[in-house]
Amino acid sequence: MRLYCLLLALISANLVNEKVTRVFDATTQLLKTSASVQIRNDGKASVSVIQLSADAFNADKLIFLDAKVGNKKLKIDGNLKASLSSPLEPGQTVTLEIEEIYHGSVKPFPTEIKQADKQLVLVEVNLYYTSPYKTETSTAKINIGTKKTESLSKTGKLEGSAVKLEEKKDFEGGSSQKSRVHFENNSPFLVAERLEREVEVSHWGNVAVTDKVWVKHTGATLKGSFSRFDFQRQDIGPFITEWTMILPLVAKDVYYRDLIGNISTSALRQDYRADETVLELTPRFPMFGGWRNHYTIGYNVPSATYLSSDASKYQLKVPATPELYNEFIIENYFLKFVLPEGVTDVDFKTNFELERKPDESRYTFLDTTGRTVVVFEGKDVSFKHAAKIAVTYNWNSILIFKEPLLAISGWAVFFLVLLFFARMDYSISAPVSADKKKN
Amino acid sequence: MALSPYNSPIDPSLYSTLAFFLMIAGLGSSAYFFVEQVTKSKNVRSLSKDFSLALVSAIFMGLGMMFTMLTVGIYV
Repeated sequence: MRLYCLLLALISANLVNEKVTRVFDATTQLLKTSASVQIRNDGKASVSVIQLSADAFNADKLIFLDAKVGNKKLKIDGNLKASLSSPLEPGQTVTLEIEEIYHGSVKPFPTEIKQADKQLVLVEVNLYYTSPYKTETSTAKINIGTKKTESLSKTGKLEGSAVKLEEKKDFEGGSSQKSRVHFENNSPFLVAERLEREVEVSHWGNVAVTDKVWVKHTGATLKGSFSRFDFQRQDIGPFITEWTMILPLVAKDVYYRDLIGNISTSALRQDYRADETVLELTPRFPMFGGWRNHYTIGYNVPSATYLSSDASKYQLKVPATPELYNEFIIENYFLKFVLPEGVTDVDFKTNFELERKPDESRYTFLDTTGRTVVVFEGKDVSFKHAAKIAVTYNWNSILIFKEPLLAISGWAVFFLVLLFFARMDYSISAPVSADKKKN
Repeated sequence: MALSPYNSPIDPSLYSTLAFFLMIAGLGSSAYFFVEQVTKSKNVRSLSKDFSLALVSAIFMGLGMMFTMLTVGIYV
């Protein structure tokens, strides 16, 4: 009955977008939008659920949507329905601050370029504000970070390094018209196609983090051959020569390697003011459009940073994604927790969409029954998600003596076997003791 | 549930020291054990002494090995 009422209220909702201001940011590979929407309730009943919509021409590329009223985050379900904390009474207005991220909306065009060419990209957005409700005024701006445009829709006008879209007044819900910008964008189109993060817990005071990263330059692909000589003379262009990864300040034993071995072109420094360790990575080769790279980053963190306990209850709270590079995007995401032997009641809590897979088992040093490996899988995780995860489990702390006992018993068996063989008789002759002869 | 940061029962900064002294003790006692086994005939050795020496060596070698692993970064 309550659900029915809610549904009825939603259908009969007579909401109006009074004033919409949208700002698109297309200066990087991700299309980021921030919209301020003032909504008025023109109906007779109060409304507590607002239907949001992704941009009509980029809806399938939406990877992140977040809505706020003031400083309060709204709860948003899978169908982009935002629930207000207090219902909107008839005649009242509320202002939503909506942030969205689209992955793949800044498309390189042409899709193939030569080494010396600049990269041009195409962005298409809805001129109208995409919403099921009527809109009274809507303005929009696309930041492109350059004056070098190839072409613009007639509905747009270049103002500085931004394109201002025509103001639209009084349009029905669901209105759409393509507005496009074709401009130069040489920013790194670096995408982590796959990331495997592994967090291994040791109750001897350490949490080891390993990130296996598969990256790709998803910009316009390189046409023709690559010339190292020409590259030496190039200073700007759509190639990627380095990026920066942020690690926790307490990270130690940091390594950066790939299948060949250690990659020495990196720099590590601690930034105490920002409470972080900065890892500047230079890959083995500059990355041009379509090129892939694969590397592994690992480090140790003292257990007190992430692990907390209360009697036999433990909680492991870690950032679910590494800060791979500035404004990173991870397409296929895997997270593994290697928990100590003998854990029970493993549970987790996250602030983003994550699927738990069946547990695995792994044997490492001084293991008998195998460590529990908890596996998670996700898709399209970006820097904006600020992804966190907390894994809780029960563990009897007496089990910490298991490893030393195992090591001791191993050595005990070794010495006892020696003792046994040292007491065997290996002589060929009859057992007449030499000691007895002397006496 | 009042959670507090979890620390190792032994301060990790002591691992290398512990590893060093436990290994010295372990190698010393096992060397003594070997010398006993090799130089003396089994008729003059006492079984209880051999056993206790084996046990002491095993304890020192086991702990020493574990702390060596912890020192070098194999967190068991």
